[in-house]
Amino acid sequence: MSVRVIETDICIIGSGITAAMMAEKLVNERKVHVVVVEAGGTSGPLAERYERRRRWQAYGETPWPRDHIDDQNALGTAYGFSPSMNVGGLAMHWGGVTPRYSPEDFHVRSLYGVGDDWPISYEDLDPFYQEAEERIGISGEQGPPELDPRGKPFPMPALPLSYSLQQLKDWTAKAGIPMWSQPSAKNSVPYQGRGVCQRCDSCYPICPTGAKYSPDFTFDALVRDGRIALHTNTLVRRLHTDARGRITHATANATSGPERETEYRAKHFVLAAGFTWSPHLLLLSKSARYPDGLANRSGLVGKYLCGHRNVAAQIRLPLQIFPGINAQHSLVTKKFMRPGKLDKYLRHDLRVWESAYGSEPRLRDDKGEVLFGDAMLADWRTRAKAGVARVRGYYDVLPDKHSELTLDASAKNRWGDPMPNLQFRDAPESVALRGHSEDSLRALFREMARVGDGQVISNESSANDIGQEHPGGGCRMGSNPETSVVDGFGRAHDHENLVIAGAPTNVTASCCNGTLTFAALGLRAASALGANYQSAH
Amino acid sequence: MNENRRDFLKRTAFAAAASTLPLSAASADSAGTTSALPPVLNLGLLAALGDAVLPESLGAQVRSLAVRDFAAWAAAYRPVSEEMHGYGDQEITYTAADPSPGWRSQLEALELLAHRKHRKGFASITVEQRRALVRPQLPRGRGLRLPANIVGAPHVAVALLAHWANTSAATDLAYGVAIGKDQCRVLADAPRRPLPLAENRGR
Repeated sequence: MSVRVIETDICIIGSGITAAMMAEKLVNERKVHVVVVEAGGTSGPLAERYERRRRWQAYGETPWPRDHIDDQNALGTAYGFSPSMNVGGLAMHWGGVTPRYSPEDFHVRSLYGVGDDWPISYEDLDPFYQEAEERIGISGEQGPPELDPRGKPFPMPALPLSYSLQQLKDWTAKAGIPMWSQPSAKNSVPYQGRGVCQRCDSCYPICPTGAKYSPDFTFDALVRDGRIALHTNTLVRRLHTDARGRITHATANATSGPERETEYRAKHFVLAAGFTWSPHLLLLSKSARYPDGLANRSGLVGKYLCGHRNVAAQIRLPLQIFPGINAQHSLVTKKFMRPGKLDKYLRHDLRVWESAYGSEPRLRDDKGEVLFGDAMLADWRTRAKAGVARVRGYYDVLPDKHSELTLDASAKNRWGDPMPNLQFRDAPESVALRGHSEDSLRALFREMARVGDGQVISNESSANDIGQEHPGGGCRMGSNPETSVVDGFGRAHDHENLVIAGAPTNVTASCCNGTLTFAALGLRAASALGANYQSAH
Repeated sequence: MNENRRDFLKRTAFAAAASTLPLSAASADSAGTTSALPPVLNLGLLAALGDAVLPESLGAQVRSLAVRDFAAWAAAYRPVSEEMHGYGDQEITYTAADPSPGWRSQLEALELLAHRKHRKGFASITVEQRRALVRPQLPRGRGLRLPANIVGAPHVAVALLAHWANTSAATDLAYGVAIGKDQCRVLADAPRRPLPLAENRGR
């Protein structure tokens, strides 16, 4: 089999949102040639998305068929993992919810004596958060500055609060909880050639209008303008080094079509393949010189997988709530992410949505009598008069060192590569705090209900111990090469021309969605990487 | 457009039963788009069932549209299509087997039962008589909700009701205002209280 050789300045492995941000920044700001390599294919044009949405709504069919590779999947306790492998990655069907972490997240050891500090601060990341918000297009409302610090305003005004959310905001204010419009990657005004959100309520899993950002928009523009080369259906299976430890090339195989091997030679390599496939590739790339895989002097590649859990409730309130006005938009507060001094560590976010819980149409009434015709409608109308709020808090879970990804020889892809096995584990301090964390959140919900003359009608929580939400880690950043894989710019301690970007570099996963942070970390890494190349201006 | 195997099977099945179908094949699906697929359910029996289980206050015309929407939905169902795997789901799952054959049998059973008990077809007996035949076929339980997943509905009557209840229009009727759930709508209107439905104005 002949080997295709591709030479470039920077080879980015993976094409999710972090890769999109980095590729765009690098080619905009530097005279540099970038090749992006993606194991999967493309998702199809925007014009198809109304019909895809229709089939999803009507039948539950995925709007993103074949967005994965059948023999490339993870095993183990993998809740939070998605098999999505396509241009745009998991962000093709994200909800577009884009909170920032809070300043405390970067210093939990210093402030609270738990977990580990990051090697960077919120202030270091603020300009890159801003840049990510501008590149993606975020609509947001700044909360009280003491809770929601930021250097500059959001690039777009906030999504307006629905009639229902306005009432719920008044209710939470009575409970002493300031809440505001959740920042979202959905256009509140026309932005970057894409239209305004039409609150179609299908942001997750598919926005039919393109008002919600997805990375394919960035890649489509970069490819159309000849700014990058995007190689799809090409799985990078190994990284190779020279005697000095520099990455010389990556070898890849075609995942569809005729069998083909490609060798990517580059000055720099960026591993932006998410929290699973980034450490997986490093572990696969072991050699005589690196028997434990690349970038693994610390032995921490694949370790400290991080995430969080949630506690949620449905609260019936004497309010007129009309669920469905803009169902995927919520209120948010950072009050509990910034708790000040604590006797027992607990940090969590809090969100409130309109809800139809308990108001659903019924086939039989409370006595078990069948409801036909107008009787069914009358029953539904009566039940719909009750206003219901859904509340949820993600609480910070500190990762154990052995919250880890390992290679599992029991499942191999067509080339014989062992697949990743994911095992999430809380650090002992988080194990000890779990009851306190969940009890405290439930007590908060009861108090919120009491203040609103309402009632908690359902308690929910992460239904499993089989994984964690918004996962990251596996190549944690740090200043000490003995206790971390990359530095604060994502540069591998062990390989001077290897950058690991986004989710895998997280030290902890905060207590909110991580995507914006992954993108900001990628942009910060791109800033440092770009300094190796001449300015484009 | 090329006819796929499933569409072919549906068409041939339809042809075999066509003489029993009193209504046109063309209908509108749940999203309001016209479906050219022939119905896989007996529309005459389905209409009679719809008159028995859907709200009377909808009126005959709206009930008829709801029945046609449901029939079109069933006709366009594709078994073993990839389902949304979404965040947090490592398993790739597929849509269930086509529920229509089971529902078709249930409709036929109602027809046979009507003849057995009333010496008339299901469509020819009164609404109350129809309800009396359907009621024992339904799942039991107090406060039983209509299923969110129509495919799993244990009886065609439940599926028909649930399909209608899942519509944006049904939700508006329940809340008495024009929420427009699942419709693409003007963002700037979100802060306003949804407008009352026409029938409620002035009350």
